[in-house]
Amino acid sequence: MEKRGVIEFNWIFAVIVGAAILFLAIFFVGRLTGTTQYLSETELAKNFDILLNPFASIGGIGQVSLAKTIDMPQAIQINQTCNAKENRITMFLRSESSIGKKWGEWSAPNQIYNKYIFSGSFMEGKSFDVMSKSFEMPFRIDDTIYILDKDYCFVNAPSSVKEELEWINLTKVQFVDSASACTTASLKVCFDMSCDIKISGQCVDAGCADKYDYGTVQKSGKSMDYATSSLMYAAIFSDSAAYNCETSRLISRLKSIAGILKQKASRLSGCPTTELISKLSDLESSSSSSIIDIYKISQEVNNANPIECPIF
Amino acid sequence: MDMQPCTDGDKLQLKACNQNKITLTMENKKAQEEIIGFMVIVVMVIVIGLLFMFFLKPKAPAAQESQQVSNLLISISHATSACDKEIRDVAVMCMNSENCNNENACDYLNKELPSLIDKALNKGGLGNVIGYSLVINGTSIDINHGNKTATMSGAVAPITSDLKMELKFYYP
Amino acid sequence: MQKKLANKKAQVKIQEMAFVLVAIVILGGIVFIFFSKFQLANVQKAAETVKQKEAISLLERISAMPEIKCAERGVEKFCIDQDKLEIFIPMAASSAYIKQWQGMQKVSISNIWPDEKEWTIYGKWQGNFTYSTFINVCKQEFKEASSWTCSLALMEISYS
Repeated sequence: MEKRGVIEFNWIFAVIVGAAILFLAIFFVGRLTGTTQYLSETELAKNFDILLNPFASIGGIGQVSLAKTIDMPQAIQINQTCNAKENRITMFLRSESSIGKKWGEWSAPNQIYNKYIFSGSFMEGKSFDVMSKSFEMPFRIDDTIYILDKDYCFVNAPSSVKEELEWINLTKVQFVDSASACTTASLKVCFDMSCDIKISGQCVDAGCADKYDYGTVQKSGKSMDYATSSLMYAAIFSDSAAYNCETSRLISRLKSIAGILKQKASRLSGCPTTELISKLSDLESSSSSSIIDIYKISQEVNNANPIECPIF
Repeated sequence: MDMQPCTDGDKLQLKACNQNKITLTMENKKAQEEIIGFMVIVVMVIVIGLLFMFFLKPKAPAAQESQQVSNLLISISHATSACDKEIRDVAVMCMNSENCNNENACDYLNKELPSLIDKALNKGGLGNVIGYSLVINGTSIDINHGNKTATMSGAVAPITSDLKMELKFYYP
Repeated sequence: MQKKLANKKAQVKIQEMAFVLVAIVILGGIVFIFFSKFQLANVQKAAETVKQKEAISLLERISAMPEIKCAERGVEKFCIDQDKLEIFIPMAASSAYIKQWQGMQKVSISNIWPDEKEWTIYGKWQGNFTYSTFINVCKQEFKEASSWTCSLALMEISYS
């Protein structure tokens, strides 16, 4: 009888202690998983920012500098807001989770001060087309980065747009001759015709190389003025809040660079820079909120750049 | 436990006593084996843990040596010489036996290039360089300094179809 | 006698269990300490890697900044414009640009040859880690035609 009692006590003791150890282990693993997930989402957000670095400030001029499809190991959601006053973009990121809830925790906010990203404020997907193009007005300001998470169908695009975008083979951009050839889920981009996104070219002056040098983009009931193809693509691929904010940031930078060039022009002795200095001053102090007006002044600046001693 | 030999009592008691002793001995041995087994596991975990800690020390960032050498060579070739021509143009002048700054272009390069590279090395960013060589193929410029080793980092900058600059840094 | 033996056996068993538990707790404690150190090292390494990548990409970005980069008739040259650099330096610490240097302790350009000169774009004190790249710093002059005089320079970014 005593023998049986000894064995039973042994087992009871083992079970109680085993259960306590298991409980502690599961509790700490749960806590650790939460912390690890937050850490990895924050690291992912920072790495996404670093992934975009090759697209920023490449230093090229003219056509699209770089285009690539970024494939993430699992689906991610990106939430970004632009703040023109603070001159930054705040980006939150989270990835699909295989344990528990479908989406992990949002990462810590990642503040980006050195990029101009045109995209939707909320994006979701596993694969993103990323493209960058130099923004010049008339001198180079920086590279504009476009992130595409949706499909776009360009209907009867002008040759300048087609030549620029077709060769880079973006998976989310399609060129067709009529809207009926577009895939159902894609956003239709039409030139001087009504559809999801309508581009209206307004450049008809003598100095215009192309009708679409400046104009308006109508999208989701909103109208956005653009100038140069960089901002035309920006208006197509982003929402109006992001577009207006990022354009405002770019214009501030343009004015800053105009100020530097004005001072440089006055340092270069012997070089006929009087008219250029005056036009740069107009550009620097322009209070117009219209991007088209600023574009027109920038064209005057370009014409005033002396041929014998170009300042930019 | 009493391990004295079983002697007293009848045959049955002796048998039971011996059996008990054998059982106890076996149990003792089993218990000792279990303890040893457990200690082996504890020691293994400690050793593995120590190894982990040892290998977790953050390593110093690798020197960006190759790219640096390339950047240096390109920057040298575009630097302006005393005769208001880029170094790469002076190399062409050397090939054509022309003068730069009132002296033979090749003599000018032989004098200035080592000074230029020594200043760049003093500034750092190129790692622990113990020797270098700068050759402008197509000319007589063949500058060597310090020791040559098997561990090296180099770059080539083409100037013309007949002319190229080659810079190598040697490490211990 | 048998009862006494049984009691002793039971006590031995309890002692055995107690020792095993103590050993497991000590082992668990050691494993936990190692794991915590491992996790901490991982976090520190991740932060260190991010800072390294930021420093390297900042080097590339600064040399491509239109505020200081050489340019002539839309053709961008691989050099820093000395005049633009000197005009830009007082602006580098302004609210428009200060966030560009975030996390970095010092950003500077030093002329190496033919003459020596240093321009500090941002910061004062050298950090523990430094990344650098060789560049040309060029000055535009105009005597009948535009010309550029270039020197060999080193751009450095340091952080702690």
